[in-house]
Amino acid sequence: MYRYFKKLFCIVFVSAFFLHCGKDSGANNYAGGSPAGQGGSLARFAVVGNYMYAVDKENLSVFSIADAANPQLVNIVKVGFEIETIFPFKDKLFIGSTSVVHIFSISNPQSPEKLSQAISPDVMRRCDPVVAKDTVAYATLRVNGACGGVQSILACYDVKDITRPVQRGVALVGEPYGLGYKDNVLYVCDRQRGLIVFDISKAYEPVQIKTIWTGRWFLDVIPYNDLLICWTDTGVSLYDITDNRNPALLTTIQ
Amino acid sequence: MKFFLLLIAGALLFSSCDTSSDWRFNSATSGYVPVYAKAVDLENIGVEAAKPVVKPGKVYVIGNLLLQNDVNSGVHFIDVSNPKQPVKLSFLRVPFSTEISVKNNYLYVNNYNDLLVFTVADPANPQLVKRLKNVFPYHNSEYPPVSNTYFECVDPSKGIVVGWKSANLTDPKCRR
Repeated sequence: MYRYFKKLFCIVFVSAFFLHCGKDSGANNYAGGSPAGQGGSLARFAVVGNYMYAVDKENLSVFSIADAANPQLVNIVKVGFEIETIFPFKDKLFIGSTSVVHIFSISNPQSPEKLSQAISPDVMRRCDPVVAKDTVAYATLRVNGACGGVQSILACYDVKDITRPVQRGVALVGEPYGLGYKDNVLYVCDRQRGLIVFDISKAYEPVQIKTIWTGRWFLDVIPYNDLLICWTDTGVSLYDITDNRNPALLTTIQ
Repeated sequence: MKFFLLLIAGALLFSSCDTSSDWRFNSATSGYVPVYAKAVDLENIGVEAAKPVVKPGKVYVIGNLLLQNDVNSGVHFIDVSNPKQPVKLSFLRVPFSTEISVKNNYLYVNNYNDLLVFTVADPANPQLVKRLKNVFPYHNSEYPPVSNTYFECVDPSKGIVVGWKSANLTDPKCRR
């Protein structure tokens, strides 16, 4: 067991926004009417209303951007060690670190308050991103040669009780990175397999629909209306997800 | 689970830089050395013509504007109003940038320890409007991005640490 304890592991806990798909048949809804911007599941900056939250290695910094041209640093909250990502979901922030997931309330947006932390039973592995949808959160826990572990997984957490996240299901994946979803379809970036498309109609029983292998390394995805924006090792690939089960390549950008 | 947490906490404690001698090699070993930069090079901000990405970084989207960080060098501005034929608009040079986000027409980018604000009302020609100094401790400045490794101790007189590269070390004094 001792060798496990020397190993670095991480969980990046990410939540995805609810994205509204244009239901009007025919025209694609790429940009939509949405004025809000969106980052990926691996971001360290998150804009929520009049505040921007930024995580460094240990702290959560709160900037007031009520005057967008003139941000003010208004608060710094100590979070923990080896913080890597932040993702806002409704009035919560999910902050990923190499050890645990920190869940903060931003009901009082200037003063984030810690609610809980999530640890997978697979915590002794090196881990990576997760996503949340309503009362479910999806995490990819990446096995890394230097860090031990046997099998990388997609973990499904029950976050109904936000103060006590519980893992309820898993799916096997290869070498996963970022992820995101549109409605009942979850996209997982996998360095070995490509882009994996899961049906998550049954929240705790993800079913693999297909994988899209392009030879590129998918690092993260942003589902944005009918557009799936993929960060790859060669730049960006854009997919049409009007039919969310069947992403169709539109173009690649270098 | 508390047992595991304690062990984890212990592992993290021992991962800090330690100069005690009991574990040290007195011979060559592999590890990391800091990459230094001069402060003056950090503030070399500017707008360039659109160009291919070199080291693809994080992406951000707002409306028809797609942004991609070029790791530690800047931000590409891409018009995706026709996603079948995206148009690269410009490249904003921001040394040691990795993070991007936007509110309204304002782009927030880290520039080493600073937060920069640009107006992107004209995405082909972003303009710097504000710099907040020293709001981010740079997350790779103290030790390499991996654990269980030897590294050359940081020497502040050589400049600011902006990255790490693997190297063969002789009698390294630092470990994590």
